[in-house]
Amino acid sequence: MSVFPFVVVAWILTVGLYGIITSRHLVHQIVCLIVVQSSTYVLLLGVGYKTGAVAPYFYDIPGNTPAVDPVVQALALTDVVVEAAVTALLVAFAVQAHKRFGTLDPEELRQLQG
Amino acid sequence: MPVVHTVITPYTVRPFWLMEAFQVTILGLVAAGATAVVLTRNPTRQVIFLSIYGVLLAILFMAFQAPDVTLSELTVGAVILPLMLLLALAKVRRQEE
Amino acid sequence: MSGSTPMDALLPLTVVVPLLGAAGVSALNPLFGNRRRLLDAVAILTAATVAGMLIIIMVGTAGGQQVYWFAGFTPSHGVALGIDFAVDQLNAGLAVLAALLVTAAMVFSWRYFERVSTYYHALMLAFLAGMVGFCLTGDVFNLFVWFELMGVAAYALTAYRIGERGPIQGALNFAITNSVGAYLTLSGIALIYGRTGALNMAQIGQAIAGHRPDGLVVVAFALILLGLLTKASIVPFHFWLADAHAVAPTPVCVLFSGVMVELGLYGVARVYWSMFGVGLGHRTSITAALSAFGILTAIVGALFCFRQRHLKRLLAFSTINHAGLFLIGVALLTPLGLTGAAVYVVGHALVKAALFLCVGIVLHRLGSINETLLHGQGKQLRITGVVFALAALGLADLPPFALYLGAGWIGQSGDTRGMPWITVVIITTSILVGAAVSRVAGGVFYGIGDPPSEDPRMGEEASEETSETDEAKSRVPLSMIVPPAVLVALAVVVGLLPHLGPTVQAGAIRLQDQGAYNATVLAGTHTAHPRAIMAVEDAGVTVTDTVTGAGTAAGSLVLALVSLYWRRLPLLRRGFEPGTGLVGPIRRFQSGVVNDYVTWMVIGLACFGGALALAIR
Repeated sequence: MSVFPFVVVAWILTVGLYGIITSRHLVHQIVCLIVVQSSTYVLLLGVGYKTGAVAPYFYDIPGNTPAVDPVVQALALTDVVVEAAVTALLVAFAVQAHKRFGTLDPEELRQLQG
Repeated sequence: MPVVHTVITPYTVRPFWLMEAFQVTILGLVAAGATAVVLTRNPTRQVIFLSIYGVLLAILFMAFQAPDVTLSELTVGAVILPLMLLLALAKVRRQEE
Repeated sequence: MSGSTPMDALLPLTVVVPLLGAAGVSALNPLFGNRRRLLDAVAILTAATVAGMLIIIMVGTAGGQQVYWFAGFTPSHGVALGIDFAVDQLNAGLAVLAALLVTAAMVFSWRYFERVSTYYHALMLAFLAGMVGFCLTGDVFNLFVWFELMGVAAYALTAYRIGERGPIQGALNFAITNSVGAYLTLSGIALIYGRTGALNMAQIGQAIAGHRPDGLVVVAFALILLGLLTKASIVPFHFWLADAHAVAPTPVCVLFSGVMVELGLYGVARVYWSMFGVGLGHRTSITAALSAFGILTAIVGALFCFRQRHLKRLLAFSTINHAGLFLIGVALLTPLGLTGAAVYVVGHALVKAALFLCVGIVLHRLGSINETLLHGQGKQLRITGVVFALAALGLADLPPFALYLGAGWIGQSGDTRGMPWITVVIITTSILVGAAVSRVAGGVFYGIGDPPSEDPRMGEEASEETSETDEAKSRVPLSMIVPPAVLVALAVVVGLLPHLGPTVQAGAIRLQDQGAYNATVLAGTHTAHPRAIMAVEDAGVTVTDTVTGAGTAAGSLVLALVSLYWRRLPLLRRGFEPGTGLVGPIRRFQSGVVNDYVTWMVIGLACFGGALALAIR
């Protein structure tokens, strides 16, 4: 169990990068970028997890109960917000790209070269 | 050595091996979900897979004892982002007509 | 350390003020209505205020590190729970540079854009906040957050002319490559957090200092560096830069080339010296691995620069060349190497900003940035021509522009570490880049020689640029020519400052003393005299540096003249022009397709990780 989450993280990252590299559609490419970012959530929460620990809320449980690390959860939350912002911007770019180029294939965007 | 209380909260599953088995299963599902999202080349279908992937991630975060990340992933990853992408695809389709 | 001194009140304000400014101009947009000048004035004033505050802070750091803990969460028993700003001479200086360039760019924009959207001002101020926060933060997760804020503002600014094809493509390439880099950096941060349980850089450094570096630490180091190297446009992570520069509005290019790229390198230095330096060890191997990337970047940048006919791309590749040279300076890990890099960065920023602003004037007046079309067209732009030519010579390391000092010190430090070829790389690539820019100065502004051969594809791309500004203007407004002139003058002033070397080196030594950093941040104990990790060399102005700098500038001029008069030279084959052999490779590598760029990033990550793994066994 201790290594498995990290294997999954590496897999998600690899698959996402593979998707970005082979993508022929900008929206597909953006979704692959979301997948790449999702690997960081799993990594963050995997890093903070302890077997048998509970969620880090100490309202009605004794103070010395083992809890998972709350810091990584705060980081993951920030990460989700960052993701939403970046994706929104990229989607706006993609819509404009289609309007100007008439295609969403990144290989067909041929305005800039060399 | 402080006494460690065993506490049952809505998020704990006992015994621990059951929880671990659940985590391993859901991790495997997440890995498969990511693969499915990437390999689906039809954008509309892919967005639906992305939404399912968001739900899987949310369940995973629940299993990792992170309820508030679960909530934000459910809203952002499973609903808002797919909606945004669907709207973009709809707009692109309108442009094509 | 507690929030009692006026300095402590000032530190958070350096990011709060621009962020409030950005939020203010967006929220009060209806209020501004047609009063565009009011908007400009608010933005300029905000940026200038930030610059002023940062200058006060920079002067205050001469006595040592300043640490500010947000909301007063000071560390207890060496455990940092809060988030801090840790300011020393070098990062305060870099933040000052960022604020000054934003001010200059906003002044230039006063007349440059005929009409401008409100969000331009908001984005510029948010960009400024991101850069300042990135410089000053002492928390590695916040480093990532500021990196992303900076990034999002920069992507949006690149696509400012959203109605055209080039900007969309450039912004997409920029955003996707940099996002991939940022996520890999975040993965590295997560790994190092898993190992140390800390996010404060000083505490992480302390936690990994005691152990032999294991695979996890090395992987985390490589991943964190990857995003920073992408921002720093180090080959093979550099492809986005030329595309983004080619299409971003000129005042924005000033910031990209002048500070944003250099901030990536500052990040490398900060992450290394505050977190990994002591823990990783193996300094010789790390120098070898990083400087190899630096040398490759310098050479690739210089060759591609010389070939370009598109003025903004030409300057962009010159930036890539310089980023490589800066990385070499950082990678030497010596106080003098870092000193050289710091001075080089300042000089380069001032000169390059002036060059970009002059190109902006050319575009504004003549409606093109195609070197071939512009040949001899710039004769009536007398002052612009003089400023551009001076800046070109400065870029070619002519004393007394500050750049020759940086180049000289990096070379000298390379000699000391047994790498004399670094001087050779600096001189040859600087001659190539200087020649390319001097060729533009001579050809466009003075009509010397023949126009360089036309490149059909480039003409198409450059013709789209005209809409960045309005129809050709009859004269150059004062608000457009004064900023570049002042920047060039500043580059000379910096080069002539007395005690420049020793002062900057004191800052470099402080940045490199991890022990002193830890003590100040975690325990609040101040170290008056930080210890140099590597031997301190003399940072004086030597005759060798001056002669080398002058020689490089002279070499650039000769090469520029040769390429301008190439077709009239006897003995040479017709139809062959210097650099034309590079067209194929440039087209193949700089394909404009983001898929290729990400492929190169993955290859680069594998090479970089492999090199580090070999280095730190």
